Amino acid sequence: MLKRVLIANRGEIACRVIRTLRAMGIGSVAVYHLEDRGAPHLDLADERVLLHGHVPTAAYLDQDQIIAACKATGADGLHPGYGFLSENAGFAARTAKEGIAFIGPDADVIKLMGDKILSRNYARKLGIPIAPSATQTGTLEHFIDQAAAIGFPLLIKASAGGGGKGMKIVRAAKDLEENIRMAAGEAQRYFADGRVYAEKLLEQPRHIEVQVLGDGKGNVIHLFERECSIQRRYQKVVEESPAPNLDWKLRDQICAAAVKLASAAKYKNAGTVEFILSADGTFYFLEMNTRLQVEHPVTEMVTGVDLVAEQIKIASGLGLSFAQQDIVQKGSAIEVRVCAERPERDFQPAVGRVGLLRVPVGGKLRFDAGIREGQVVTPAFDSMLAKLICCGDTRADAVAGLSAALRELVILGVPTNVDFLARIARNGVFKSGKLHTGFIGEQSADLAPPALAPSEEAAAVLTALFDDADFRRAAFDVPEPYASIGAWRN
Amino acid sequence: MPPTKTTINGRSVDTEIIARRPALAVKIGEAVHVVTDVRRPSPSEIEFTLDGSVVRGWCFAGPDELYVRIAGNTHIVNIARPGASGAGNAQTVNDIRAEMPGTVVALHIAEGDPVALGQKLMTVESMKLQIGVVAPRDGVVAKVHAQLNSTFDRGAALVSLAPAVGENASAKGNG
Amino acid sequence: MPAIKSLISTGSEDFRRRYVHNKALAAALKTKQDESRHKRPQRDFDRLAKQGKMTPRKRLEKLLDPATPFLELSTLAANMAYGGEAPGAASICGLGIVSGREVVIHAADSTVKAGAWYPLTVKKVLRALDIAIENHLPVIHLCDSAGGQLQMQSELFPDKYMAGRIFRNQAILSKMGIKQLALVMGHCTAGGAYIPAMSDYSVIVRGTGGVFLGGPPLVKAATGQVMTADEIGGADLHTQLSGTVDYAADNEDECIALGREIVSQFDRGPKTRIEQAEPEAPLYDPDELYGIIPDDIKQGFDMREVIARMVDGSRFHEYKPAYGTTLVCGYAHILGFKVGIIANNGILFNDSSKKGAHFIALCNQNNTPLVFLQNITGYMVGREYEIAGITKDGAKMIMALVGSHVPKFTVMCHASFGAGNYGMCGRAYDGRFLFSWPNHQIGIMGGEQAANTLAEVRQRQLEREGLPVGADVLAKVRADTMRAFDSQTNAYYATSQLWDDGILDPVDTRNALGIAISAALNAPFGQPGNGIFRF
Repeated sequence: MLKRVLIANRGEIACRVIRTLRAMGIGSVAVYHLEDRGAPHLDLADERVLLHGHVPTAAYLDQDQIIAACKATGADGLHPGYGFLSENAGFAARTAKEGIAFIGPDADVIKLMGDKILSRNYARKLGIPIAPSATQTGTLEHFIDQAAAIGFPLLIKASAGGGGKGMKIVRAAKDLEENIRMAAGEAQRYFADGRVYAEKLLEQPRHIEVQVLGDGKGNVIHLFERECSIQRRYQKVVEESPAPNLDWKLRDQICAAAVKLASAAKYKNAGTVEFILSADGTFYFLEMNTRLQVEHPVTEMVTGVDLVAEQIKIASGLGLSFAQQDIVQKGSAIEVRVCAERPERDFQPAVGRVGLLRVPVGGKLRFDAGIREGQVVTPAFDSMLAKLICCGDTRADAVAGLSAALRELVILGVPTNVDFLARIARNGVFKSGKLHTGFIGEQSADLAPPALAPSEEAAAVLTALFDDADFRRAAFDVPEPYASIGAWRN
Repeated sequence: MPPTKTTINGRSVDTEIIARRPALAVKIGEAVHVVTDVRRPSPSEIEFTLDGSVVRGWCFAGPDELYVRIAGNTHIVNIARPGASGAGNAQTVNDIRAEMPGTVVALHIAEGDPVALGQKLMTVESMKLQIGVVAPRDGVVAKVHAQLNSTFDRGAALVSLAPAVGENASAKGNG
Repeated sequence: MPAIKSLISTGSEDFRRRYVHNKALAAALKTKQDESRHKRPQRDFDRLAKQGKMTPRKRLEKLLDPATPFLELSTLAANMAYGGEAPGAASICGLGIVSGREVVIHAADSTVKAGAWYPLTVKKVLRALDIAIENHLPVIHLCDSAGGQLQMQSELFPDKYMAGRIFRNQAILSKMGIKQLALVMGHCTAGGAYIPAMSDYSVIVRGTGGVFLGGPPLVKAATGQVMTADEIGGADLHTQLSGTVDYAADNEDECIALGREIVSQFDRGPKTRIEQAEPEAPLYDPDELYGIIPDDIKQGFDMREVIARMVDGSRFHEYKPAYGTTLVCGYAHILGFKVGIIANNGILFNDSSKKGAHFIALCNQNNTPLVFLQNITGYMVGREYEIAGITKDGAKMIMALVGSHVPKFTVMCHASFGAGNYGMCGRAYDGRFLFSWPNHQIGIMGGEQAANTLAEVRQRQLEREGLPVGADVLAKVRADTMRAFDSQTNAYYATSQLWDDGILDPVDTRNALGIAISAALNAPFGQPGNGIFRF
């Protein structure tokens, strides 16, 4: 078993990983940029190492400093979390070479799955369905012809991309060339790789993904599916398990496809195979994420498996603790991502200070947070502050619990999407479980902040005014008899 | 506090204390509300009776705006304060003057440049000490009085600022 | 404390007649006040607007805490002087609440001759500063004045109680630890420049504010230099170079906001503690005062009916009710403040004078402020009363009054003639505030008495010189005297000359007294002590 693990990450995922390390009796090392001083993961960890970086994110991407921190603290394992270096094959290889266990798959698998074109070809060879697509191999003209042949609507994506960057929807042939150029330009800017590919766009598709664990020797189990269809700006907002209204046979087919892919790749550690599911029940392989997902808690809540613990055991060479039949999906769990943003301004990221934080507690609730009261939210990092997860015996229970918890959750001092998430939880279509990736756009009217009734407006304005010392003085500091006489003039 | 404009979730409403006895009466928009029993159950909570109904909310004051959470809804409230630009903090100064005699060793702006509060305008050397002269407020450089390598006396105007574009006296006042 | 049982019949013809009469007087007062405050040639408003200035009234409203009262003093000062060209004596003075603090406000009225000082302006400002000194109230000056009226300099510049006294009083206030704030929203020229200079705190509006001993015309005349006011003494000059002014503001709103913030830094000392209760409205409607006050100066009325419409719960503990009944004395609360009331119910006799002197002493022993309600035509005259010592009994009242250490307040409810004015705390007796009602008349004696007295004197003089005494001659003496008295004994003349702190609509008396008493409690009561009473 590993003795000491360095977490090459920050925020909620660093806290999450450290908690499991604690529970397993394994030492933890946090790294941080000065911008993150006072962040909660620093207090949780046994040791902490300051990273330098002109740009804060660059510090968490600085392989030399992180390897040096492992050496300095005697860490024999490294957990990359998600984002940052988690899917960097070169870093995984380098870590291994330095004798530090990289808690994730081997470098070659990361490399394979990290390339959308390569991974799709790999899946196709295994007989896993992939959406009709075209890859740019020859001239632009040739690519345009191939793409048009798939039929519209089309999605243009960056080969090296993610997070919606470089992604374009094309509905007519006349717009194709321009969009390909734009997508390629963005891909070049964001990923230093201008390659793009075209894919058939499914209308009202669902995003279904499967959590897998592999031992690196071809043994792979799945921990069922997650539905992550509710997205904004191509980023997930609400995730749940199991996927609502999903036929169990279809669910088994999807899970089997995921296990097939991971087994073939001799996948080691935790990974997620993402699929897109069309309304008619056809599904296509999208990509595989070779790391722990943000939304892993919903799987943990319905299966009772601590995925981080399993990751560490696998990285320690202990193999899988479970056989497939041991994994049972029980009840329903939903996660919402709490972000510092302004939903009414197209989800524009916001900054501020978490001045007041009141977290609901309950046996069916989990609040995975990388923030604490008083912490400053800067534009240096991702806007996600925390994840609120609620489970229940049924999906309706989980939704009701989530609604109540969101009402209780207080994060003041920075604009957040908490109320927006609450409106999703109250939305009729959401409650019915008829989800697809266009949900937020389609339900935008219902999800918009409702107009305030005059009494609500007065209540809010007065609450603010009573918090204001100037107003309190004006209201209460006027002596008698002046207060009694009021606005009298002689 | 004199009558003021309060912005709630981007919407502006006029607020004014109308009376204090027998109960506090506050005009918000067009309606007058009667408030009694104002309490602070905890440092972050405010409770009061508004027109006969109890209101209890969370509150946090950020540097510019107040965050209020009532009945599961968060509102961002901004209380306008005339004079809050901080005349007392020298933030309304037009002429930036030299605190010591010296020489301009670097000029970082030109006439017509928009400048922001805290932006370095020039570097001056006085008594072998290099000092940055910074903008005391947002504005536009109206005139540069002390050119590069020129010397100046204590109290001499170095740079004059005009109001920032789109800003004028009436917009600043009674905000 | 029992409530007064009113004996007024509101359905009576007397009540109706008096009500109509006094209501008309009150309406006339409101009209005059309104004109004094707002009626100006349009060009004066245009000039201010062109300069980007608010009217002084608007500044005042913005300065005061919202939904708080403003007790304006001497609104009709100078209403019968200078041909009416200086309404309010070109200044606005009063008591109000700024940032929760009781303050005296003195604002130059720049809508009148650009706020230039008339002799009565100086008198009014001095009175405001005296109020600040006597009651330990901070002063806020809203400065916007062109300086002294040069044509009248001999009446406003050289003497002890003229313009120089303003700055002397400012220094006294500062020495006493009573704060002053000057908000320079226009020019402070010549002597006026000392107002911000002598204030402990000051703010100036950039562009329109200016402080200089000599303005552009004087500088040009003296040195030939042609300069703008801003160049000679503008905001940046005074806040950056001279240090004459502390803060600059970009506009008047900001200036006022900053001023309010400065006032909120002022410490609030403890107020003098007197007996106090929760404020309570009178049982009887103050509006009925109109039907109680007579429509003839020679008619009396029961002052208890006035007290019943002025004090909390109409409750009144009357002292010695059966003795010296022409002077009503007793305890009551006004807006919660315990006061001793001394009110005329007829001519002062020996017994009523001694009762009054004794009650003044009781209130001093009891730390109870005194309120005098005057309707006095004098002390009783005649050999019988002189033998009884009416003069020395009147002197006892004056001795007790002057020795009194509790604050005193006077309301001129009707007549105030002769020595009765003194014994009932007339203007000369250092009451903290003195207000009049519009029906009020004041003089050494009534007009009719004076006419008869002077006719009598004239007749004797003619007889002594052996000249014929023509009825027409005596009639002329009577008529001339009556005219002179009438023009100088009425309330508007009195207030024009600042013999009072302003005329009140009778229904406003309760609020005015409440504010006045509250203001007075800011100063500690002095040491009690009397001279020698002539027994």
